[in-house]
Formats: sequence, structure tokens, C-alpha cells
Amino acid sequence: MTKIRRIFKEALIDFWRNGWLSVTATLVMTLALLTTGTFIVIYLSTNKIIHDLKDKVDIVVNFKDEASENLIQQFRSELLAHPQIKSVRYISKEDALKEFQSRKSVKPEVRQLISPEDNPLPRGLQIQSVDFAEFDYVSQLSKNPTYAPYIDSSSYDDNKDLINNINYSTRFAERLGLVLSAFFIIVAILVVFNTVKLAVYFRSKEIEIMRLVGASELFVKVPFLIEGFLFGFIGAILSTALIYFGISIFDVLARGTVFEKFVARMIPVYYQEFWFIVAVEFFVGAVIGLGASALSIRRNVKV
Amino acid sequence: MSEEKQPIIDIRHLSKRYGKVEALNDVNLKVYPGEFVILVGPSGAGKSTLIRQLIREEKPDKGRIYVAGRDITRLTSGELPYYRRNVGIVYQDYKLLPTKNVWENVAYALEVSDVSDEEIKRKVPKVLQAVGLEERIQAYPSQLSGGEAQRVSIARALVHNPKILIADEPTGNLDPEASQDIADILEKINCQGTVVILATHDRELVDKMRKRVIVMKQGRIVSDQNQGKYMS
Repeated sequence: MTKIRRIFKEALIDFWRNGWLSVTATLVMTLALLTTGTFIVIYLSTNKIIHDLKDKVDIVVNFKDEASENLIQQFRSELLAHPQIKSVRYISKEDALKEFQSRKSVKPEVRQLISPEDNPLPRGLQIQSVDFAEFDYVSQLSKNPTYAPYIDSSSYDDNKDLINNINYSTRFAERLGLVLSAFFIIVAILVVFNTVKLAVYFRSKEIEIMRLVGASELFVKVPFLIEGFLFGFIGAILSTALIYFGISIFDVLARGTVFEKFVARMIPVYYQEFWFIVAVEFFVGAVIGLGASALSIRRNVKV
Repeated sequence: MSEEKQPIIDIRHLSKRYGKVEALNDVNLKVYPGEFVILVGPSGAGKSTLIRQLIREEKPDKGRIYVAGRDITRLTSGELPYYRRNVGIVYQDYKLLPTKNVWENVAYALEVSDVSDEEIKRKVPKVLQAVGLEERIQAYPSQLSGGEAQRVSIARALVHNPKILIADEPTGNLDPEASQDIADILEKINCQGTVVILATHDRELVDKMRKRVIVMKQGRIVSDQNQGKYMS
């Protein structure tokens, strides 16, 4: 106990005495963790958004009126043969009409134009909750010469473009986040490494005396490890606070801009994953702080 | 120095080079319990190199050093602190921490060696008394005379009750009177059973003390005499 108290005292005194050096190391650490935390929030939110979108995406394949019932049923069985396709709903002309009539966006005048007697709406197959990978399967099947002449339209091409676009933008955002995080983490490692090196240098006289009087190795080295850890620990606290308050500010700022919807989806994800994000930040901060400090001690402190 | 006794320090065929300079060249030396050994010789003769080997600041190129029967050239970094607690060392420049007062400087040696607070309170006054500084415990190094500072450094070296006390030019910065004080303290410590190894240039001191004198030149021991005098 006495030992732990003395070692902590040494570390805190040293942290305090190094003043601006400690501040710089802590701020760089904060920056690194802030980037990492932000990246995680964006990554989780976009993943959630894509996931939600995919769940909602149904493909509808519409058939021309001359297509026989048999042909449609055959197409349906072929779709269901694919292991990932769970449910394919047959939409009869009546179903299509009912659905059309119930749409609120359809104006009453237009509604009047279509009656059960003269129903131009096509029969269709609605493939539900398809994953991105099944798009191509559906696409190929509908290009098959057996079916192609009877297929009126299908929504997969539009949906594919949309999802492709989203996928592309989120991958880009993720990569940018990853690169930035890696960059700042490397900077943080270097800064902590050098800060500890300087701290060792400033304390070289003390270290020399410690060695002369037979200080245990622990006593010489652990204070520097604690210092490194403190950079990460305080950095994690600061970056957590910055993200926490930053996200509320961002929420207000984003209102009425193109980001509004994204932020609205991001915030619940952040609150839901709050402790996970905090844990990651403290873990990354501790690993960087301890690791860079340990490396520096190995290089710079002689026993 | 009876021959049947085991040597406490047994240096065998010790050699050390720094680049082209042969700092130690096949040095052999036995020191027995209770001895007071004075190491003399011109600058660059190898005295400091020998001391650095003794406290395992450096490893030799060749040879072995047995201290109390243990080969210290083979100590692991984990064992090293425990060895160093058995060897007190005093330097010409005192090496005191300027931000700590006399008491704290001495207590520091114990604090960093996992000694309990109660033991620190018990041991520190004793060693400060042994060097005659019990009145100055609140003073900071900048407020001390050279002789006082050196006595603090001796007190710190003694606080672990070392078997061996090594003093590398302890009087180098002191006037003759203060030097004599330090020499008296070293003799007193020796009388209490601690082996003292004193490296010095101080001719007057050596001649007065009439101890075993070892003369080094160009990395070799060239003379080893009991009740010796300073030769260069």
C-alpha cells in the first residue's frame, strides 16, 4: 500500500511539474480519441441506416397482362429456390388496386380513373426484405428469355442505384474516419513517447540517484507508466465530454440542413451505444498511453 | 587481514576497454571484511572505471567480481537494486536532490526501496546523527556547506546499512578542514564494521590515514601496500 501511494505520488508530482508537456500530450490524446470516437459513432450510425434501408427494400417485379398465371407462379418458385429469399408475395390486380387506392398521396381525381372493371395495374411479385446480394439474382432471373418478354417493369434497378450510392458514400466516410483515426493515433503515440522521453530526461538526476540507492525497478519505471496512462485517461474523459456535448450542438446546427436526417438517426445510435463508445475510448487511450510510455521507458531508462 | 578469512570483494582478471582505451587491464584485488582501502592514481588510471564495475554501473569485458561470494557481473536487472542496497556510494558532487531537504534526501533512499514509514522514521535520525547533522534536518542542499552536503550524501549511503561504502573523490570539492571531517566520518564508519573503499587525489589525507593504499596506473594495479603512502 505504502509503495502504491509513493509511486502514485511521484507520478502525479511529475505530471504536474511537466506542465505544458503534460497538457500537450493530453490534448493530442484527446484529439486522437475524439477522432476515433466520432468515427465509431458515424460508423455505427451509417451501418444502422443501411441495415434499416435494406430491411425496407422490397423489389417488385411487375408482369404484363399477357403473362400466364403459370408463368408467374414458375417465376415465384424459382425465386424461392434461392436460399436467401424467404418470402415472395403475389400481388393480384385486385391487391394492386387496393394498395393503390389506399395510398394517401394519390389524388382523388386520379383514384376515380381506375376502377375494378378497367384495371390497368399489373400483377406483381413482391420480394421482401432482400439483402443487397440478392439483387443480382433477381435481376438475372428477370432477364431470362422465358420471362423477359412478360415482365413489365421491376424496381430493382432504381433501388440498386440508391443502395449503391449509399454504400459508396458510407464506405468513403468509414475509410476517411479510419485513416484520420489511425493518423491521430500515430501522432498521439509519438507525442506520448517523446513526452515520456523528456520527462525521463528532466528526471535523469533523480533516476541516477534512485539507481545509486537501490530503488526497485518498479519505483523507477512505474511513475512514467502512470503518467502515460494519465494522458490517455484524461484524454478519454475530455473526448467523451466533447462528443457528448458536441452531438447536442450538432443536432441544433444541423436542423434545416441536408444533415438533419442523418443527425436525427445518429443521436439515438449514440445514446444506445454510449457505454460501448466510452469503453472503447478509455481502452484505446489506456493502450496508447501505457504502450507509448513503456516503449519510451525501454528506450530511455537504464537500470 | 588474516588469510583464513573469506574476501568480501574478490576481483579476478578484470578488463574493460572503451574503444581503444584500455581502462582496466587484468585487475586482481581482494578486499577483506573490515578493511579500509584507499585507491590512488592519476586521472585516467582506472579508479572510476573500477568503481563503476563494483556498483555494476557497467559490465566488464572480461573477468569476474565476487562480492560476498556472489558473482555480481551476472546479476539480473531485477537483482541489481538489492545488490546496490548493500553497497553505499558517495560522489564528489554529492548528488543530492535540490528540492528536498536533508531529512527528505536521506529518507528518499528508503522510500524508493519499499521501506515502511515507521522504519524510515527510525533509521533516518540514526544516520544523520552518525554524520553529525541532526541539527540540520530542515535545511535544503543550497543552504549547506560542501562538507555538510557531503555528510548528507554519506548518511544517505549508510541508510541501508551497507556492507561496503565506496567514496569516489568525496573530498574533491572540499577545503582541508572539511576533508578531514569526512575522513574522520569514514574511519568511524569503518570502525563499525563497514568496508570502506576511498578513491582520492588528496595526498595529505592519504599519508595521514595510514591505511592500505592501492596505486593504479593505466588500468593496472602497480602497488598495494598496508599503511601505504601516496605515490604517483
